[in-house]
Amino acid sequence: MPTKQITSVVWSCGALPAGVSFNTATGTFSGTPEVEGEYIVPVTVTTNYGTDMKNVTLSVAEPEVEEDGEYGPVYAIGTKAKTWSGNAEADADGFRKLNMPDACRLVKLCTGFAAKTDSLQWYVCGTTIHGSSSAHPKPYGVTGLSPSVPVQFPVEDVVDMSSGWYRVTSSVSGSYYFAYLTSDHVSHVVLLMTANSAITSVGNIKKLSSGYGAGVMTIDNTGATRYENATVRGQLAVGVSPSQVKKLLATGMYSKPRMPTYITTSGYLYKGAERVDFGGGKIRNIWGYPHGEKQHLFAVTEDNQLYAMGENTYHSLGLDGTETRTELELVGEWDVKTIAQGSTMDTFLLTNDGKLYHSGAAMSVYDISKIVSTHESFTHIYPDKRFIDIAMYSSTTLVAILKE
Amino acid sequence: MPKNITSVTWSATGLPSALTINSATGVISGTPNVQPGDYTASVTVTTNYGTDTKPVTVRVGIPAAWLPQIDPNQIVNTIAGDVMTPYTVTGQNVTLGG
Repeated sequence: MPTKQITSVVWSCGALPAGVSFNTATGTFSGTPEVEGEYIVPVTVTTNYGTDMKNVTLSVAEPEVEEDGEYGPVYAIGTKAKTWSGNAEADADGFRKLNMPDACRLVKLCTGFAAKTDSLQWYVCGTTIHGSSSAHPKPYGVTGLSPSVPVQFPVEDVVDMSSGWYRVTSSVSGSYYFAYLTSDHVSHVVLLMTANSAITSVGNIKKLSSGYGAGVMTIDNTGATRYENATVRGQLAVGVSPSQVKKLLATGMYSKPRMPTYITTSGYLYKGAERVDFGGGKIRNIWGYPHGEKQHLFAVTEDNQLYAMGENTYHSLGLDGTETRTELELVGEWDVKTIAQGSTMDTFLLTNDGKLYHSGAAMSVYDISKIVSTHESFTHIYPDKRFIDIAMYSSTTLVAILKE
Repeated sequence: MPKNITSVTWSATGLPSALTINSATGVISGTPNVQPGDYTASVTVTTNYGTDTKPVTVRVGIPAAWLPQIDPNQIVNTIAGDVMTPYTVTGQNVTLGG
C-alpha cells in the first residue's frame, strides 16, 4: 500500500468576529474579540486529498465588569502612617491621609516591602473593566515611594497587581518587586519595580502573583510559567490551562515543597498539581500569607462560606482554639471583598458593604493597639468608616482607601 | 468469408505500479501501489488481423481514510476585550505529512 502523504494544507474561513484573525496555514484563531455574541464561522480545509467544511462556533462572552465608581483617598494607620502622610494630622481613629495629590482617588491598593528604603507602592485605576476595549476610558497609575511625591504615569487597565520581595543574601534583603498586570488590545504586560525604582516591561503576561521571598511569578500567553527571581517552583495540574487559572499565589500555603496555590475559573482549589477537596462549594477567591512555616490561607466560596487554614495561635484565622489548622476549616458566612494579612498574628477582613473586621492579636498596627484590640473572632472595627480597599504594609501599617 | 478472430493478445505499458493486465481478457486488476491520481497507460491489443494502441486513463481514487475531516461541533470560548487563547481547529488528515 502506498503511504498517505499530506503535502499541502490550506485553511480558509468565513466572516470573523471583529478583532479575531485566522491563520490560513495553521487553522488557528487568535486575537482579541471585541463584541460579545455567538458567531458561527464556516471553516474549510483543503489538502492534496480533498476538502472539508464545518461550522466552528466562536462564543464571545461579555467582559466581567468590576466594581465601578467606588474610589477615594488613601489613608494609613500604624507605624509608617506618620512618615508617609508627611505628618498629616490623624483623625479620631488614628488614620492619616497620605501625602499624594488631591486629585488621586484610588480604587485598588497594593503594598509591598522594601528593604533598603521605607517605601509604599500604591496604584490606581479609574473606570475599570476586566479587559479593556476602545469603548472604555484609559485610566492611569500612581506609584509612590514615600516620602517622595507620588509619580503618575499612564497605564492600560490594571487587571491585577501584586508585590513581593526577594532575598538576595541571607542577611540583607535586596530587590523589592512590584508588578501590575494590564490589558491592551494585543497582549498583557507586567511591569516590575525594584527598590531602585527601575520599571521594566517584561511583556506578554496573562497571570501574575508574588509572595514573601518569592519574587513575582507569572504565566504568559503561551502557557509558560516563569519566575522573576522567585524561589518557588511548581507546576499547574495536568489538564489545567493557564487561561483557567483565576488567581495564583506565588508561594504555596503548603510550605515544602513550595508550589503555586491557585484557583481555577471552575472554582477548584489546587496546590501544585493536586486538587484540594475540603467539602466546600466552588471558590471565588483566595488570599494567602506565605511566610516560611507560618502560613495562612483564606478561601471564600461563591456562596460566601469563608474557610481558613494555617496558624491560629493568636486567633488570626477567626477560628476557635489556638491549634494550627492543616486543612481548610469553616470560619462562617462572610461577604468578603478582600482580606489583608500583615503577619500570621492577625487578619483584617473587608466585606462588600465596606465594613472592616479584625481577628487576632492586634500586632498589626501595634502602635495603636489601644484602638485595635485583640479579637478571638472577626469583630467589626472602626464602625464609623466605610472602606473600599485595604492592604497591609509589613505587619504594622494598615493602608486603606476610604469612602469620603 | 466470415471474419474469424482466432487470436487476441492484450498488453499494456505505463500501468500504475502493482496493476497488471490480463493478456487474454484485457482486464486490468490489482491493488495500485501509487499515490492517488490519474495515470495514463498505453494499451495494445493484437489479433490475427492487426494491432491497435490507445491511451487508457487509470484513475486511482483517494481512500476515504485519507480525506480531510474537520471535527464537528467545535466551540471556542472567549471574552470580549480579552486576548483569546489561540485556538487551532482540529480534525483528521489536516496536518502536513500526517
